[in-house]
Amino acid sequence: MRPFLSPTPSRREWLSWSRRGLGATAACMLLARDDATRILASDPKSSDNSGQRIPKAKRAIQICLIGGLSHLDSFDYKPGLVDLHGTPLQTEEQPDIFFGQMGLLRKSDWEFRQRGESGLWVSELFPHIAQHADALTVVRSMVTDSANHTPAMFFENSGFEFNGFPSVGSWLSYGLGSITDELPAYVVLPDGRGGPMGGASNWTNGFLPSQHQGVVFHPGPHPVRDLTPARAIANEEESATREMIALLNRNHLQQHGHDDLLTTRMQSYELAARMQISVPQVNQIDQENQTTRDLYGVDDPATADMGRRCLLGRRLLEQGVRFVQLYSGGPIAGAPRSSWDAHENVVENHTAEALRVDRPVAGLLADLKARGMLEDTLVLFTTEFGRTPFTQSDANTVGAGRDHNRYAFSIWMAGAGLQPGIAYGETDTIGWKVRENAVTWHDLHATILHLFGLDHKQLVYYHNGIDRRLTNVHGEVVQALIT
Amino acid sequence: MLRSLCIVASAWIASIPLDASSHAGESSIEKLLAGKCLECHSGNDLQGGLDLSHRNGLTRGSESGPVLHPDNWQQSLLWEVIETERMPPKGSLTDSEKESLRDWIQRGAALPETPIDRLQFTSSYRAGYDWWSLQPLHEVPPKLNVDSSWMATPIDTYIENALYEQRLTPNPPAAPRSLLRRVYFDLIGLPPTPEQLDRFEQDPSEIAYQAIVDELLASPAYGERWARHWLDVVRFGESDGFERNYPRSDAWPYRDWVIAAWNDDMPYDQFVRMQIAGDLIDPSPTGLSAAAFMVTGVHNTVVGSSERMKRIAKQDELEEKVGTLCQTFLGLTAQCARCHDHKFDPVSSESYYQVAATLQGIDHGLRPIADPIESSTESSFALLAGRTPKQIYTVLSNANPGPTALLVRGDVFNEGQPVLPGGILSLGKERSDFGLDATSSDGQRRMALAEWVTHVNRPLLARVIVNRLWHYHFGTGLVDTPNDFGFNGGRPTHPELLDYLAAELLGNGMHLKSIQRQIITSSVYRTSSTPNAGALAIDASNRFLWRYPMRRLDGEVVRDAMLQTAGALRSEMGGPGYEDVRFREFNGTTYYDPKEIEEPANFRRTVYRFNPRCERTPLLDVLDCPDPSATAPRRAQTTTPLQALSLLNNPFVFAMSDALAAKLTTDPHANRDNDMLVERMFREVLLRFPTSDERSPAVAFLERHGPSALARALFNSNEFLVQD
Repeated sequence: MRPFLSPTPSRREWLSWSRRGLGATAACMLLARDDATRILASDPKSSDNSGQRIPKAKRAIQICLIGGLSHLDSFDYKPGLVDLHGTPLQTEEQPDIFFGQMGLLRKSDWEFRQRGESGLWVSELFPHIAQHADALTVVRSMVTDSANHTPAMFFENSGFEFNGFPSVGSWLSYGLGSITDELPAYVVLPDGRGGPMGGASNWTNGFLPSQHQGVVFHPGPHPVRDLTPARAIANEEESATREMIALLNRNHLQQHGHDDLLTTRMQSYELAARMQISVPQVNQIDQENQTTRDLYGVDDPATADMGRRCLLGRRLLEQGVRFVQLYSGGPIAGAPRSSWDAHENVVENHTAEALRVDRPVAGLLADLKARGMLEDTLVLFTTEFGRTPFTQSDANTVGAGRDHNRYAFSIWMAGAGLQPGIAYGETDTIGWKVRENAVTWHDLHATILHLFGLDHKQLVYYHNGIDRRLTNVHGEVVQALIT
Repeated sequence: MLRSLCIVASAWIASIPLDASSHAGESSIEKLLAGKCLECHSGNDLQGGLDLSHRNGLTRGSESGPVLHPDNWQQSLLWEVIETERMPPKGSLTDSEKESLRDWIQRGAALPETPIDRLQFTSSYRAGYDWWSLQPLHEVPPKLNVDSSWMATPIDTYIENALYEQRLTPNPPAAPRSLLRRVYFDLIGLPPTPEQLDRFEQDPSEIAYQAIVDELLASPAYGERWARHWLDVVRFGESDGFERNYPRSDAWPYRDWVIAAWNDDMPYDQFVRMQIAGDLIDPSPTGLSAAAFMVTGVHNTVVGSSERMKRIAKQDELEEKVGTLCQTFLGLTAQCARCHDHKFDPVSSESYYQVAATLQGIDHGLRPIADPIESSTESSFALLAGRTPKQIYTVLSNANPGPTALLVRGDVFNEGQPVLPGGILSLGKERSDFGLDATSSDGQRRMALAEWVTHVNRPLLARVIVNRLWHYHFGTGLVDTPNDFGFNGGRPTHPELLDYLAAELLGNGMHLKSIQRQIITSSVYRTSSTPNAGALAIDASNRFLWRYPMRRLDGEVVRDAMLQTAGALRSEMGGPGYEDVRFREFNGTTYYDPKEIEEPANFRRTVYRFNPRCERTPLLDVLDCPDPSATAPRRAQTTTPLQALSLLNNPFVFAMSDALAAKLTTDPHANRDNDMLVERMFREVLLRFPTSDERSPAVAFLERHGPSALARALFNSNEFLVQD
């Protein structure tokens, strides 16, 4: 039984965690005074005790495809669907899809080819990414609980279908802290066409302290809110103001006596000043040479939005950001759609969406590799669910669009500690349901934390009655994905 | 010997009725079974088909046949799986536990006829019916410490005795300036004016202090401050969340009702009842507003076409409602029992679904107000905005919510036993039966629920709320997990004090202001916050309260304090909130884009902010104002560079700096002398004169950069932002 005293850690405890390698390196950012933190000590009885505790990943970048990428048209090659094209799905069950209309089965509209030495099947939807097939770890057997966008995206981000649970990036920030003091630990780069549905709930810190929330970098000269004064202030006035504040704080500290709250607040102004220099610096992608810009497609209008963000993502990672999240797709509905939600026409929709991201993401992979960063950077290319092998149309027709498929979809990862050039798991002949080695988001989250040297069962935070985890009460590390 | 044992065993197997005494003395076995076996081998979801909770279950055996051997206990399956350590599958038995079970099996494995309620036992891994927070109040009269240097109020005697045991001495009293700021911020969320401080410094007597406390408790601003705390707990948000995230422009009457209820010092049990069933108790705008508590949480309006998604969305929302209700009023995390009996607290899955059944007849929606004048019970609520709303976002009540079934493992397609609307069994079996059947209306159910919550366990109801008061006055509760008085929650640091305050509340008609008056006028509340090396060495985290715990002002208080100091605070109370965001509907999602500049019409107290979900507001967000997606019984206090950046650079801070500068320079009576201006500005912001080493740098700064720049620096100082 726990003694009655609070689980609140003192600053000293925080530092001792750092020494054990679990705590934040930027302890001064973490003045969590009312902070029910409990990263438990290593438990020898834990099931995840493979001995692999040396982290392979130091940082991650996630490309989050909103709306549901069709696995059948990208990473899950289904020749069986060619044979059955134009026939009805043989099933007794009422499938759990979004609109409920079940047309006939439809083969992929893209040619699939085996790529590289690994022979991984990738379709022509992603010709540039396909060139990196040997670096990809594809999971073809993803399953999720909801065929509804927002709950499914919350699930992808936080392991829960509800608003208000901390996202993966927040958990990593909480578990590992920042690498640098001068930039936020978790940065979000939304699609230029608009933020995702659910907005900030997708990168929320939930019940974790607020420094773990995703910080949105906006395009343009003012990437971070309140980074610079709301009005023009001469440099001299700005530095005199800082000195004035410092003088007031020093006097007050002397008069009151030492307190962590007071000194940490003083330090936070020094860090803020450094952030004011680092953020614009990291944001200056114009400094990159033309070869790099071309690699990401920064100057081509078709790829500029994603290209700039992928390039900025790499720069952020380079400067010590722990987790960068990029969205491909804005709000979900509307016509034409501004996401991967191809209910009406997969060919039109996916062609347009893929064009925006294929070259930039391939460029990111190439660039990370060239800089030796792929060794300890995890790249994630995910979507909230897949699409149905039958079309969303009248029962006797082969329509052009596909509905949501929660029973099977594909994602890929690359980099730090992963087995490259493999496709894990298998769906049935037509890609409707997973046949073998189903992987849930909890499993994937557990695997991600594992790559960072964190045990998903140990990374906990007390909230309203329970030691909360990213993986709820589920999740198994998928060992087959790991070197 | 062996023979006689066999006779006993076979006699038992033959189900010869045993009298009660034959398994007397087996209560330790029951406890052991409850702890190690019954989680899987009792109730609705039997593992291997074996029920070990009662005699017949054991006799019936498991899917693989009988588990007891008629002749030889050693060959019984039951003993075999224990001996070979196949059971329990997780967490092994100690040698002595194994021995007890062996002896028990050897004796004939007697079990009672009625199932053992495994949740009743407190053990090293879970709370039972005898859990501390569920017990009657344990009233220990305050003991006066003769050596006390304090004017010991009853509260202080409990605190001081604990300090004494730790060899700690309390800090001396705080200086009047600290104390006055403290009591102003705590009670009304605004700083005192320099004139108010002058008066108190001239007469810091006990009588003067008590008069100030009474005046603040009677101030309308008190409700604005304490309603904000309550809104955290009830996760009050003004949009749906999820995909569409539609705004709820008519949700504000609930907020106004909460403000009025605190100001009126409404008896707490009435406050609770009205939030559960206000629309039924008093179908006026007042009651309809109060009952909106039930629907202040998120609501998904896009649930898809499949039956499964619809059911899951419904169950997810019910879980959220049951969880918020039980945590808010009873400190019970009942939502953990949706998929299985609570792993740590005595809440069975059946209990969870009984409570869920009481709430399944409510829906989110608008109710029109036919005749705004008719209500007879209007209190200061109607006066808050000076008008009543035309419609109110509140609970819709279904006449026929229908039957309820327990969902096995929470699976929406796995319906188990039917359950009726009711309460949590462990809080009292009789009371948990509402006497309602499956045809009862939502109105009947919620009326019964309101009665149950407020009467089933009055000590618990009182403990939870007095602990919240303590939490907001001292930054940490006597129980440091205000929503969770269960096994995973904290234990009270001062259990006798907690029970004393709860008893006081129950004894005074459940008026919260009187408890707060006791807290605020105690000596422990009035100690200084200065560090003391000796005390820090013993109790660095100050859990024993040898000093007043210094902390940063809440985000709303920072904003309100700047507004008031700058002379810009608008006084109008109530009504629709001010909007610091622009609504934009785009492709099926509502966006709430923060406005760059706030117009003066927005310069109201922050409690009146229109509070949408899925978008955070720059300044308040970095100052730890919580995401209204889930109940927030306490806030983190973080210090980050982004916070410093917002306080330095946000347009609101510039606007307030300008306003303060204008206030001090346009006053026709003001002395235009810069030295005097610096002095006045220090007085306004920090409530003191500049020290000798601040004065000349500040005057030089002001001469070079102007009064607004100095105001901005002062607003960023620790001294302004911290409550000490």
